[in-house]
Amino acid sequence: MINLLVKLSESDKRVLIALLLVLIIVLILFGYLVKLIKFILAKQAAFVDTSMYDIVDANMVSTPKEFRKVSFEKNRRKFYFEAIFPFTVMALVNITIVILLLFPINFNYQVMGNYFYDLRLSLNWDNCFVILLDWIPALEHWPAVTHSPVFYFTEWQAWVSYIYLIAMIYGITHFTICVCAFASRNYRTIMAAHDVFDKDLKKLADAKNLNNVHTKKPTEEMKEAVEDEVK
Amino acid sequence: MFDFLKTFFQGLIYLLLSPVILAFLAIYMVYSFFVFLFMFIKRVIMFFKGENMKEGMKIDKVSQLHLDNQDAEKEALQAVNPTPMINVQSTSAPQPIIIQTDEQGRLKNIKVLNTNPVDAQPSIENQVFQQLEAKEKDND
Repeated sequence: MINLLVKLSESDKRVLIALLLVLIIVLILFGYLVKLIKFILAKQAAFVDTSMYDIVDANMVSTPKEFRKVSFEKNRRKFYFEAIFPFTVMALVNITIVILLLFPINFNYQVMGNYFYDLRLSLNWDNCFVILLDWIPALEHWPAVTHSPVFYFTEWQAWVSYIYLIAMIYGITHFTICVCAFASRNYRTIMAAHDVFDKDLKKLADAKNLNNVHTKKPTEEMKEAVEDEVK
Repeated sequence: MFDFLKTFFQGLIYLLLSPVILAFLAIYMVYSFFVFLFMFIKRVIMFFKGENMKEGMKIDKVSQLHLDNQDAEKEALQAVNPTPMINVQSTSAPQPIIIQTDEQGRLKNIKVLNTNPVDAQPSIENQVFQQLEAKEKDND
């Protein structure tokens, strides 16, 4: 171990420290991203509280099972209305492609694939890395660009392919967001069903102190009847 | 410092768990796709039944009705048994106030006019002025 440390040059040490700092920064940024996503999902989950408030207040549901059944149905309806637009966009572009494929014109999946292939950005990663300490790969210089994106704006097949790609990317992204919100609301429903109907002695004591719930004391006869169990 | 470390370790844990989370999300997306199709078919059936999914569930309407009835009952009870109010009666009518100022707008005198001739008493300033006048007369 000591021999290994002696072999490290100054530049190697600097690179190691830089790599460590980059890793720490990436992890912290990832942590903040997770916090942001959790915050947004918690806001979405608040729908369960607002939608079920009046129903619980009116005592229309009295068990966790009933609460879950009503809340899951409300969540499904909200998800349906949220996801209807991206789903419609994806369905429309796919139906358009299917209709075009039915006609004997110069348009098929291979043509679309060729246009997508020409949109790629290719980089040559040969001789870009240097190996430190026999196992750590470090970037020595930026890779060379071997292929940059090519757009065919004069061909209608290319336009159809690009619109299809953009619509599908938008549709999948928006649908994913709707799915995440749906999942967070369902999770909140499961938690709330327990919170609302759980019999918590501390909550009962607090309620008695605040709202004078059932403060009437039992009579002497009642106390005598249960004396053997209590004392 | 603690928050910083918490964020760092949270990032590390979620980075390690990210494949599991992504796999769960992919499965949930497939499930949600079928939920969407199911709700679409349900909406079509409700349309032919004459119902509208956008209007809300029956339980919402019944709950609102039940809560409104309870509020109406409370108000009716309060109307029959009103809570006693403390009645504050003023014993004197509002008295007009005269504020005297000089040419530069500086305050010279404040006088409260007592409109009740029985209880009429000169203001404090007038009482002091009257006492001074009486002293001067005595000195004379």
